[in-house]
Parts: sequence; C-alpha cells; structure tokens
Amino acid sequence: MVMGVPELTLELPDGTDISTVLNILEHRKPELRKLRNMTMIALNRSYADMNTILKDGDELAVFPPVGGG
Amino acid sequence: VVKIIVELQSSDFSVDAVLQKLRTSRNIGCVVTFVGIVRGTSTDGKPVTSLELEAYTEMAKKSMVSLATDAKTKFELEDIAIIHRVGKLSVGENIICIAVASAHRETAFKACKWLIDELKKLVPIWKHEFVSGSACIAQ
Repeated sequence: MVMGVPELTLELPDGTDISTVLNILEHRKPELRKLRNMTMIALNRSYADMNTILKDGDELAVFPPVGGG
Repeated sequence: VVKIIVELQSSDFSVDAVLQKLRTSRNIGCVVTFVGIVRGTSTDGKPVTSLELEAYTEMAKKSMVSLATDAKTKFELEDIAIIHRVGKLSVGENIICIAVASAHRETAFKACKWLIDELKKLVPIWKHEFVSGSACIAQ
C-alpha cells in the first residue's frame, strides 16, 4: 500500500478525470510518480482510460501489474 | 447451453470434480486442463517457502467471467471452468485450474493456453512469494 491506507475518499470538482486524480495522489505521495508507467487503473471494477471523467460515487482502483495463475 | 464456472476461493479444489461438472453435452469430445501449482523455486532460482495470493475480489471474478465468455465465442467451446485460489499456499499446492470442454482437441488446447495467458495479464490477482523469510511480488 503505497498510500498507507487501503482506500481513500476524495472530494473532486465536476469534470475531474482519472489522470488528475493520479496527479493528486502523486502530490500526496511523490514516490508514486516513479510507478506511474507500471500502474494499472480500474474504474468500477473495469479497466479504464486515463481521460475518463469521474462521476459521484465512482470507485477507482490503482494497482501494480497483475500476476495470478 | 454453455456452462461457465468461475470461482475465487481459499479452499483447495478437486480437478476430478471440476471435470465431472463439465461433461454436460453430447457434443463434448475432449476436456483440456491447466493446473497451476506453487513452485518451490522463484524465477531467479531462490527457494520459495510459500506463496500468498491476493485478489481485488469483485473485479477478479468479473474479469474471469468476461475472459471465459470471450473464450467461448472466440474458440466455440462447450463448457469452461476457471477456479483460482487466494490466501497463503505452500509449495506443491494447487493455485488454479482452467478446464475447457470442446468438440475437438485443437480448439480446446488453444483456448486453454489463451485463457491462462490472458488471465495472467488482466485478472487483478497478485502473488507474494516468500523466499527464506522475505516477500516479493512475483509475476
């Protein structure tokens, strides 16, 4: 857990996209910046594009490359 | 009717029991199975003591159902089962069983390989390998 907690609730202005949220998280935890290229992003449990605009109540997951099986 | 079985569970599974559940149609001519087990050596050659599998549960289940549905269409399969374990596992224990039932072996072999390759790329499950007291994320 790079952020130190399993989940965070953020108040964001209308029109905020996923990329902006990552910038906010990186501002709080600069060590996240070097992981950006290997980070996988899911919105409401499906993979999502960085430009996707968030809605109220959305669940955004930021995690390292997967490796089950 | 195509049967798709997807489970994410901490308990072990019986491959025989999975195979029995797939024999549902007269069109089935074969079942190809992949079983992943905990290897006692890491990719860089160190002795592994155990493995911990962690999942983003709801998305992992959703992704496995989606992969199975895609495989059914792509390879014209009869039945599909994907059983993946989570939690702490010892060397030699089962991790995953993928079983695909098809009319013919060629599509079944292709589908089984496609499913495990895609699962490793897309399903949010992580392996933490314990190597002589230390842990690291394994691919």
